[in-house]
Amino acid sequence: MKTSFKILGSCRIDENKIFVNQQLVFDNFAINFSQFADTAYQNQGVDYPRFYKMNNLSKLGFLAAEYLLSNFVESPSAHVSGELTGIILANHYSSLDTDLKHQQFIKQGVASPAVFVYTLPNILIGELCIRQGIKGENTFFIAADYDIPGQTAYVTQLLNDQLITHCFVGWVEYTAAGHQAFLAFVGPSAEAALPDYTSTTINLLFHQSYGRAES
Amino acid sequence: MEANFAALLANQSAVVEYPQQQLDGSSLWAARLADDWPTALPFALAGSAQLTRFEQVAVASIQAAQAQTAIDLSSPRTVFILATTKGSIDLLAQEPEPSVELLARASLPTSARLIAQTFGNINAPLVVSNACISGLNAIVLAQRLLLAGQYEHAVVVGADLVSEFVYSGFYSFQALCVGRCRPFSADRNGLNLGEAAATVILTTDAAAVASTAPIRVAGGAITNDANHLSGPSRTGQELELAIRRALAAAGTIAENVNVISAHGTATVYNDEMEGKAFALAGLANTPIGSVKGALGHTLGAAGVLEAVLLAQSLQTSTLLPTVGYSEPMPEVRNPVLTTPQTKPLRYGLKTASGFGGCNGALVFERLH
Repeated sequence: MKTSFKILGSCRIDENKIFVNQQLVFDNFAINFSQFADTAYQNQGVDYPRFYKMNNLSKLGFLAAEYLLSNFVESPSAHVSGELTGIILANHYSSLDTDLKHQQFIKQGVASPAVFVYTLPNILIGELCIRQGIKGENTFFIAADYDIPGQTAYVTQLLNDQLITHCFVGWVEYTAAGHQAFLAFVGPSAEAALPDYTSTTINLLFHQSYGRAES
Repeated sequence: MEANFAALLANQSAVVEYPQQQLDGSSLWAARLADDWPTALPFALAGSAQLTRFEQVAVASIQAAQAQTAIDLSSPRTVFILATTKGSIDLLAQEPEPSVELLARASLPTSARLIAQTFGNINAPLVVSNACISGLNAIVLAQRLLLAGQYEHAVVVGADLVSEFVYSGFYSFQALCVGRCRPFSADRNGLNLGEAAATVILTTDAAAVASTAPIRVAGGAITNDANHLSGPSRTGQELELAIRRALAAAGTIAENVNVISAHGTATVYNDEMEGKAFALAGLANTPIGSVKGALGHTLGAAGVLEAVLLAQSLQTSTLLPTVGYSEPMPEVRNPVLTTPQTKPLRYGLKTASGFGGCNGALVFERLH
């Protein structure tokens, strides 16, 4: 019999609101993403100076992971890190925000290694791996839209094949036009109250409006 | 690809000097396609005139692969997978303040869709952008999707260009070699960039394989160092983990591997890390080679390009020399291939590592 996999926790960041397991946990007026991200980071009370070096895409994904794990329903320690945990993420515009920044630097005649390193989408995965000690399967996909059935089928295959026991999955997009983060942590659990890890449940968590109406 | 293979056997390098390319006026040593490269193709380039240079290179590569098989690339049972780091990023330099339309045109989903459409394929193409392991990662992904029965055939194309966007960034990292790079050599001091597109067409239909020595994509795995964004692991343990898992997935053991097509970028730390990983994996006596001195580091294309060359090595029982190699480095115990060799080959291992800490390993098996 195949193990059934559960969504052990999820986090969604819509504009200035952070939801964990569909509950609003942080809402802050901010004039821009940078201010929102800094406030949300300080609100977590973690000491991780690397945060300030990250590009906006990485900050967004980092915050989603921090908030998800700080509101974890089970003890996270055993499964979040290590060789049997994976990260499979996607977005449409790759690292576009930083790409444009690097292009501006070129125009000014000097490229910056601190900017250039963030011109790859999987740097976000690298940041999460460094923060959480994750060493298993990791791939960044680029797609026009969040292909939830495709991602869910692939991650379920990795779990069934026992290449990993747990996985962060989701969609993290940052462009000047807006940002959106959805991150879920999935793995085996006997907790019946937890939602099953299926494309239907991920679809609901990704698309439905949470709690009060969103403006 | 046969021409590439022959040039490699003859120890030739496509890396040349391009003067006054960098922002400070210094030279770039790289392997680039000629400006009029489509005129050298033995076939007419397919696709609309609106394709970007990146898309054209990818399309040409797929056409060349398609000519070797009867597999229907337009079939709904065929999936296209594009592996690239930066795609048509050179478009950003076209406008001082890139418009929304230009950004959409330059985005990877647009390129992937146009490439797949050129071959009449209507499935949503997949795009893997996992730094320098993208190509290898895409083959591993394709193998898994075919094993799961999601598709019958997969077209995996890896492509990247040597654009100012990319070479100015690598230059700022002081990662580029002045002159031709020297993989796995004591005096290595940086990499050469290269531009390329390479394609593998995978199938689960044995009858569709024309070769008398077909290659099985036996197994692969991806890991992460969880250590540093732009420098490899100090220990090589995470690449070793990828190798161990790839061998397990392939159903074989380290002792059976006849040759390793390494990442071998010729940066100080990459080659050292690989040497450590091979030793940890029980592969310290296995011959290793790198084609980076001949073809440059082709970034997202590298995993596919080098996998194709490894497959040709296995099929022709020929080991390729490491173009640019000078003298042994102490951290690598493996024998480094320096001259072409002929011997029976069954299992080949391809490795790759990239920014973001990612590592990939892929095992090929020659079946007959």
